[in-house]
Amino acid sequence: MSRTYAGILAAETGAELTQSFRAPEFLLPTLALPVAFYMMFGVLMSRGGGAATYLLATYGIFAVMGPSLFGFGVGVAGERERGWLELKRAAPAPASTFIGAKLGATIAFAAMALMPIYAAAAFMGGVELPKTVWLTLFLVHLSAVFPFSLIGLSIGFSFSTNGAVAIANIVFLSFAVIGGLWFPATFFPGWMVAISNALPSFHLAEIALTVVDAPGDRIAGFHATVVAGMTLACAALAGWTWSRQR
Amino acid sequence: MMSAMDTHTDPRQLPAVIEAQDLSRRFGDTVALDAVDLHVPAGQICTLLGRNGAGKTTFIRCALGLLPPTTGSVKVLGEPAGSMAARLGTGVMLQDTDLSEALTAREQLALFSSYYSDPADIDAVIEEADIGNFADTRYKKLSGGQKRRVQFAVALIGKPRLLFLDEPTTGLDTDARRAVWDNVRRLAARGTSIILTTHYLEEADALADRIVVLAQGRVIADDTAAAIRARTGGAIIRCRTSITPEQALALPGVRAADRHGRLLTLSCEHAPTTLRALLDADPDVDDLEVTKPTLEQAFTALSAVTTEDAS
Amino acid sequence: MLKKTTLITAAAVATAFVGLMILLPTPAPAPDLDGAVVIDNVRYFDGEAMQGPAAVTVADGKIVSIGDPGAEAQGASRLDAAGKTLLPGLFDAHVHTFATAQRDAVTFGVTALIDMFTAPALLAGARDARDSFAPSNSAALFSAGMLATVERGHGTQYGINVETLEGPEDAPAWVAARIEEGSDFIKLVYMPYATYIPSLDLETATAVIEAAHDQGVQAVAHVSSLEGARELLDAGVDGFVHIFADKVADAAFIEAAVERKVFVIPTLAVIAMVNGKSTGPELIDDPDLGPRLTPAATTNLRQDFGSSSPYFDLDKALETVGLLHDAGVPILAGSDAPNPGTAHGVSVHAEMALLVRAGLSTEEALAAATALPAKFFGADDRGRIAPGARADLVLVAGDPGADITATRRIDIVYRNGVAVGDDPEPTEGSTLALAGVLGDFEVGTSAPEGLVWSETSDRMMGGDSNARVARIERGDGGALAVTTTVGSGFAFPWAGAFLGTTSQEAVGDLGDARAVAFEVRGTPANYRLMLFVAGGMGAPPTAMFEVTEDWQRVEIAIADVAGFEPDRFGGMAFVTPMRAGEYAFELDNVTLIR
Repeated sequence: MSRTYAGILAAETGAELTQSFRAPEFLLPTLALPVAFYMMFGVLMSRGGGAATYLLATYGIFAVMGPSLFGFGVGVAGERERGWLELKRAAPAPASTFIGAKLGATIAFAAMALMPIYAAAAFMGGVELPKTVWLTLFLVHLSAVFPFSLIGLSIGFSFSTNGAVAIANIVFLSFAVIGGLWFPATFFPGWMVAISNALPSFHLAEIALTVVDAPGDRIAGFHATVVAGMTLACAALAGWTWSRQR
Repeated sequence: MMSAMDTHTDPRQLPAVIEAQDLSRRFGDTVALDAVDLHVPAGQICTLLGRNGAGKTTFIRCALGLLPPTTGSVKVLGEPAGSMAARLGTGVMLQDTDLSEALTAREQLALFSSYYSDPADIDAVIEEADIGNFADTRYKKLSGGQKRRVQFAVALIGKPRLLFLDEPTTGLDTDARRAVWDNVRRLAARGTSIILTTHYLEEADALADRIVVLAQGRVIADDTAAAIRARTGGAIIRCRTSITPEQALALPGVRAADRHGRLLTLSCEHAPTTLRALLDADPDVDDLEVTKPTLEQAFTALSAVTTEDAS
Repeated sequence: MLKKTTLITAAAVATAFVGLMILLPTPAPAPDLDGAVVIDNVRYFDGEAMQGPAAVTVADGKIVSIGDPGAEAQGASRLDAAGKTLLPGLFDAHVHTFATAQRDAVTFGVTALIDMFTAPALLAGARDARDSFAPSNSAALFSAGMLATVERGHGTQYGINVETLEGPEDAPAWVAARIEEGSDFIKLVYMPYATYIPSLDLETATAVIEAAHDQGVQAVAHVSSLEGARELLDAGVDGFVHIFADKVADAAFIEAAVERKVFVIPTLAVIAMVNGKSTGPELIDDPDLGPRLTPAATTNLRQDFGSSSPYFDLDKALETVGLLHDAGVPILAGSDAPNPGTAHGVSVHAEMALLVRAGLSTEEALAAATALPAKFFGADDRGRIAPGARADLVLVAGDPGADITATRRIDIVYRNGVAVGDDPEPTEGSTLALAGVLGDFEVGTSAPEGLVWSETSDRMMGGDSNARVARIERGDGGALAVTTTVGSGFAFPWAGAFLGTTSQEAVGDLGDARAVAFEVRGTPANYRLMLFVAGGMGAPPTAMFEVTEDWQRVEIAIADVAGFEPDRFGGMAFVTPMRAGEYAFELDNVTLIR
């Protein structure tokens, strides 16, 4: 078997997936929590109207945030602490396959977390959307992996495992609540809206809400630009925290 | 596959596996490595010996490209340290490094084997490292010794020309330690160059062609085990006697004296001179034994000298 | 083994994703939403109860959705109607359609009329017009057409030629003729206990009801007394189009009405007028309704009989309506416009208030003017606010659920989803470009598309003249034979033939026509040609021409007809002299010439 980039990436991704599959404490909350929340607030407690569709857009972002922040943040912190990361760096594995495999596994888990929500929305919440909208929404939701993973990476590079767990949880909850993923940000007082505007989760949710044409005026291009800028900033932050490792 | 290793050309014709020039590394005000020059030719088992904090691990991390040197340079297998070419020819077992807890030994080997264009056969490595009994157990559930052996196996998977073993037998029981030694000797016999750090002198003595003694980041000795022993010269005299260490130090040529119960150990420059004086001082000397100093004793002596020099 | 894990996971996720994408439901293809309107944050009456506030999306003449307008509302115009109430377009379940009735009704949010007797000529095109989703300023028309009565009985006094019945044996053919003419249901007049006017006897009335049922339409009855109503219940009548006001209904009648499942259109507004308690002045004085009234409507609302009849006691009628309603008999709102004291459209608002006075809740009064008439007269897509329903709607300020008079605060009337008065796209037929032959009577009495030949007389204004028209053979083709009896019951009597538009909203445009030419012969005298201006009031512009016993061609220059507007042609009439007597004339080759 000869060394190929794809081969290394496949093996690294397999290792990531295997590790996660063997970690129910990661898998269960990541996959089951978002759909359970969505079932409660989006399907059972909302009676018709647009709530099921609105919350599908925002809980999709919420579902992607879990694997991204915890997989990258807590995972990387642990690997760094155990020296596993150092061993990888000493081994002839390109750094990009390490990140690539983590991204691949995170995207897989994000998709696994998203699909039950979509099924609940469609088959229990009565959400109907054109195929192109379903597909676009899914891609928008998956794209949230990138900024959140970079934030997770920065956390993982900066804190010990215990610290990373705490920080990732704070980020996770504040992004979810203040980002308007659980309750529409339109309910917030003005000062809170100002904070919302600083969070990528808010702008990602606004893009998803534009895709499903939720009530309200939005400019998707504006939010996409903000998300792109925030992603670049997160990439710079992750790069800086990575370089501090040496 | 193993035969490929067996047909290595004469190691002395290969370029140096490690070529460190004026290698220094500081951490703030602390000097971890201080102008180290080290040339390790292929085919050697080279032991880096030193107390904790002497700079052994810093040297290894620099050689692996994990730490950039503050000044100087280090080349590995003729390539810059940390370059992909250098990493491809290198096997690594680091101190304080755990593998992935959720994966089995076989899975870790599979992962690392994907990094190499011509990796060793996984089953063969499992056999060689003697980890067959727990090759399919998750790493988390293994004992400390078993974990070290799995790490050793991972270091071998790329059929490395150069193997870095940072404290490879720490935490192992005697049998396991001997098994690792056997492995190291076998690899060396096949032409694999090995850089080994240890603070077990016994280990260095048992394995090394060459011992590099590090103290406070500096190479204070670099030679064969025998030569280092010889450099310390003299002899060790043991006997049962009533003479106190204080009295013994007054005897001619005595460098050090130590006493456990009635057993007195003297380190001296020239055995016959000291022996005469000793027998004069206590005619009832019993169980007299004169030996060459062990490496440990030599090392203690070297370190003491260096410390004095430094201060 | 790790690579295999990757491949299996990727394949499983991809398969699940593709499967999910295939299964995910998609909405029905959105209709073409050009001109869609989202009426947002609006309280709405669904036909039974107040709902909302919600967003009601209207497109292509229909209600597309209620609630989240979703992707369908792309490009729709939005109207924030917070604090307002959207009602289904109202019904007036008892009217007589003349002149501008359909247009007047829409002005007051009444988008559908149940006509209880009109000239059968009006029925042509009524079905097509009401089924169309094209923008319209005219109320949909459901009609009984001609009514079933006897010679000189009630219904024969209005100037419309009524085919009367003599006995039960006439019933099947009479009903078949009505269905042929386009009647949607059968109305009969049964007032055997009225001493001042003849009536169908019970046997004939029963035969008419049975014939209607046999031929698949329902039969409703005009009654004026409790006894008459009781007899028709037993005869199987489907509904009453007035409540009798001579007595309060007794328990036996109410029980029978419930058992027979009849509905009742009490027409309290007209009973109030006859009882000297006209609702007209109140409507004229209303700050929102008053300004919308045409002068003719105002005149009508001011009229009354000037005396109170002992047989019409509003309080008794109210009590009966309350009792019937409490017992579960469906009550429908109808005004009997344009009787004195009432006017088209506007009087439904008074009727609903009277129903509330009779004991209906506000929501029940609203249902009486919306969902119930729609249900009992087969207007399936009207009378409700629900996805798929026709977008005939009224937006009113305030909440009629709290105060029924809030229906009078009309903000916007939608007909087929387009706000009335918003200048809908001109539709075919709304302006008729007229030129050339208007009537050559080669085949039947046909006129150009959008026009119809009929008789006309002063009976519609209370006179006693009469006219009949029929096609006769003339040479290879035909001509229109007109026989008239000019009476003296009206100050300016007339009788003759009328060429009018089939649709009330249609306006003819004579373009650059210079003159009207026609051939005529008949009882020698000076006849008149009247050219009506669409929407015009008062005496029509008129020109005189002389008729002899021999055929002669007459040409009347349009410019000479003072007061006529060639681009607002509302019809033309050829009428015999005002002098009382009998006349006959024949008309042919009526043509516009340049």
